[in-house]
Amino acid sequence: MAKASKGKHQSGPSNHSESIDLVRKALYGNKKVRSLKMNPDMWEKHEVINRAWRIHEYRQEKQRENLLKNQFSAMKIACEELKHTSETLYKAAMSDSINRRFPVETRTPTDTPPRLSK
Amino acid sequence: MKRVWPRIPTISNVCRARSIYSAAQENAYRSSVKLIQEYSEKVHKKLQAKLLENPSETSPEIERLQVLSQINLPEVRSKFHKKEIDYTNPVFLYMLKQQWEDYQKLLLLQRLEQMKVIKDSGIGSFSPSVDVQLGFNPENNDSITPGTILPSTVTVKTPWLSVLPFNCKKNHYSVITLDLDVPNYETNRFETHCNWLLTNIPIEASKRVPIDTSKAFFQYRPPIVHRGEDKHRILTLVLRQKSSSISIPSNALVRERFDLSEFCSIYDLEPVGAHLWRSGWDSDAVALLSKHPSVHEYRDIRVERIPA
Repeated sequence: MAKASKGKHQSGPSNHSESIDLVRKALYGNKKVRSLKMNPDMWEKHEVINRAWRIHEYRQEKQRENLLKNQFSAMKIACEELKHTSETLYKAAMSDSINRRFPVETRTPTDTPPRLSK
Repeated sequence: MKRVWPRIPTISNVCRARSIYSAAQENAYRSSVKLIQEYSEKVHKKLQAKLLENPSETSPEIERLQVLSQINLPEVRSKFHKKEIDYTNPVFLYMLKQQWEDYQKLLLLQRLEQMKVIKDSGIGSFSPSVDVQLGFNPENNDSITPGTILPSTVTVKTPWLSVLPFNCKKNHYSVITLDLDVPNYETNRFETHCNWLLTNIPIEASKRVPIDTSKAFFQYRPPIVHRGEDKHRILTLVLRQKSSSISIPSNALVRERFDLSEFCSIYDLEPVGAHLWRSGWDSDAVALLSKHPSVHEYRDIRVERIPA
């Protein structure tokens, strides 16, 4: 960052700070942000209500998470039971749904109603 | 209930919380306070149970429970907003840390990265975890924003330094101030000089006083900037010591060509806080630096022309 000054370009602190002050004044000088007209008591109440609502949401999320966890553990227990009971049914239950199709060999020719010709 | 429209349909009137909502807000506020107190008591019971299992144990889980049991209470938050901060309470320290990380830490890291201080000083990587406030006027508590360009009339005095670690432990720290932009005309490179070095400073969060600068290894030397040089970056680092006392022989270190990474590795120091200001040459520099006791000699450097 530090360098010797060039011949014509004067890099003193005064020029730099002047230009930066001009830009800062143009950007931030005249801005007036309108806000909700609430006094500090209302802001404190708002914050308390907001924090309580977050606690409530956290509890709901925790409850939902526990429910899903219980369901998943019940599913695991059921699958273990099925594995001990019947290997064939366990394999059928564990196979991908894309492999479950109606077998072609068992299909028999059947008469269907004729297509209506226009 | 029939809705009453205001006479003047302006935004401020529409957004104002009117009296027909204040009863609902009051009810919500009372329910919220009840819920918050119930939650705090629940966490407090859990904390008491954990403390009964292992008394006098400090772990992140216990600290987390301590913070959670109090951070939502309206009286605690009201005290924090009114700046009535108890520095022995971990809840207030946690809220102070959150506030610091929202703005001051971001500002400091922005300045350090913009001016390439981390790369040039040789730290390697740096993530600050203590708040360092530095100022030059001992009468008031106005600290200097990192990256400020300061005149010589300000930097000629010894600065005050206030360090706030955001935990209740007591550690020992070292403070070092480096000038990263000292030119060396023989080698045509920039060097790092040490302007100030303090060691073995006990700091804890409950004592909010500036650190003692009387017993310094290197006394404070103002940044020496000559006419024609660009602004110097003056970096102040707060280093945490692993041991409570490090002893440096008086001839082990010199101010010139200071190697910070070697210094940190020899004495087992970890950089935890930083501050930065910049100093340039101005017309008062010659008069002030000539009389300063820590500056041995100050005169203009004459660079001779290369013979044609």
